[in-house]
Amino acid sequence: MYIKRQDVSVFEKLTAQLASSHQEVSALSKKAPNGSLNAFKLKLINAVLERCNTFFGREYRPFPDFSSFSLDDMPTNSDASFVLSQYLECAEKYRADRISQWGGRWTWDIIKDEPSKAQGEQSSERDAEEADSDDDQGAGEEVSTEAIQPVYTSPPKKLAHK
Amino acid sequence: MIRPRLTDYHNISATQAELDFAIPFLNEDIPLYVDPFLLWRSPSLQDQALHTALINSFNYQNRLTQKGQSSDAERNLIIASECEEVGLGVSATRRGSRLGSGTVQQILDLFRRVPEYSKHGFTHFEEIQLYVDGIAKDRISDFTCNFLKSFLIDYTIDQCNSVGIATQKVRVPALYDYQKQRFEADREFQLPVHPERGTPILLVPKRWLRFGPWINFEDYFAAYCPKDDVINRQGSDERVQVLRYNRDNYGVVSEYIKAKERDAGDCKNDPLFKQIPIVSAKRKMSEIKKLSSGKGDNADKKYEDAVSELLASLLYPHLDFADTQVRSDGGSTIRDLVFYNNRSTDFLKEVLEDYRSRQLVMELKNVHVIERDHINQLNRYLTNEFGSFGVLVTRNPLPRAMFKNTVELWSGQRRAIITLTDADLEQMVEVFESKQRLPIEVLKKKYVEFRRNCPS
Repeated sequence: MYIKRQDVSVFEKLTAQLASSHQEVSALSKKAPNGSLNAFKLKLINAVLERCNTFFGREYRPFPDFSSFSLDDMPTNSDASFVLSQYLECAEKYRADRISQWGGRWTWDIIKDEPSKAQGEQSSERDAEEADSDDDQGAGEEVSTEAIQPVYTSPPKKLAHK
Repeated sequence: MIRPRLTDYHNISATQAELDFAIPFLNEDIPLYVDPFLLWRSPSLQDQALHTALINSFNYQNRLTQKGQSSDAERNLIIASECEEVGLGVSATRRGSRLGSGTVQQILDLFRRVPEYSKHGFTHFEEIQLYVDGIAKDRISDFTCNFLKSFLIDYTIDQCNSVGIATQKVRVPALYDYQKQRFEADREFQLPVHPERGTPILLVPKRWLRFGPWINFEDYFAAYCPKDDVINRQGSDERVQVLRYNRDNYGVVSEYIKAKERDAGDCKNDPLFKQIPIVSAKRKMSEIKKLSSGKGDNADKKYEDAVSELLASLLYPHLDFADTQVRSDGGSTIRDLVFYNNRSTDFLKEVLEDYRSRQLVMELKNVHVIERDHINQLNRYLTNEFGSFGVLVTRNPLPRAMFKNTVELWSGQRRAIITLTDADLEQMVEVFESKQRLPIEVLKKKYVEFRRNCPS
């Protein structure tokens, strides 16, 4: 599976926000698991969750019938901590599905094409682009480094722990 | 309505906490009194100036006596001894009685008998409680209100304009004219009136009110009165003997006054309603959880007392507590809590608009399981000012069948009966402590959960 180059930074920002929210809420949950999350934090967490839902799509949403917290339900610190941890896991699955090893390092599988194209076509187009750029180099023409510059990332969580 | 207030009558949605004045009841007095010491110690120049005017007016009665106009002084003090317009005290009817001539003469006699008062007058006229029998917090409050009535009229007009309370032209029976230093009769002003009696109502700033004056006989007797000396000189330390002793020993009273002035920083107004502290709320919750359900060992009474105190505090200031009610239904004694619906949150506005509940009723039920009869008892009670919204405060969640019953009541009659259980009370106490959310939001949460289960 592939990801657009510009979406990598969106992903990284989203996961950073998810991780820090989770850290904050977990700390609260350790002190007062049944304590209620205040409305201000809840609204901000909901904003992050909604951006996650849009970005990851239905396939990577942890719970199909959960999109955000209702203020009226007064979720507790432990409720929020649980949901955020689930979103973090699904974000990691999303990432794991879009990275591969290249030259001994893990990189994002970047695509420059529009997201509506089938992923199989994307793969063959990528191969074709690389072949073209090789040909171009051979002819002495300038090759766009953007096409081949890898975006490095950490190994998938399961391997990182080994 | 249960204990109707002026604001409820005029459909004003502000809570007591939001208003500068004490909201008067229409049919009874507020159990608080104006303490002139609060004006004396106030950092506000306006209040200090009012205190000066008050003292000047009181001391002027001595001047009248010295000028040979003691009958005018007596008349002034008799009129000043009762102020029905403000509705403060313990009367269940907002009506009181004036002092008699004998007591008033004893007050005026103090100017003659105690040289310091004759020469310099009073700084704190509430000292008369320490000399004259029959003078206590209610009279001190009434004297203050009557001598400052002109200010209270202006204040009332200003507050009514600001809050939106309707006024009309009405006669004020006696108004103290500060320039002429006498009471003028039957002056007309634009004031709020009692809806049935048509009598004027005056509003009083909350900051002037206490349960009793800072300078008072009980406090003097408990900690400052030299009882041995009183017994030696008067034969006993009964109240009348102490008053007599004080009249002959101004120095003792003076020392008491100086001590009270030194401690003026501790003199604060008493709120009409005080929330219990968080520690007490947690203790009450803990007591509730330990209680068994049912009536054994008086558990139902203990439950009702604890929940009453807890809920009144938890829901303040969004819901002003009105009263507890005890009623009978089918041979059972039922205890309810009644709150004024001030529409202070969107949820409460919705309760008023959709269910016409000007007062919220919460029926307390210390039972293990709610039965159909319990729901019907509350349902039958939802009339008039209670509209069609009620709360059952009980130990455990409703059984499925009973919950379905409440949903059917909504479907068929648009009546909403929701429950608050021990777990909900615990959550209310938790947010009361953490301040992350509001206890009233727990009530809203239960309502939202209920509505989600109702057919659309």
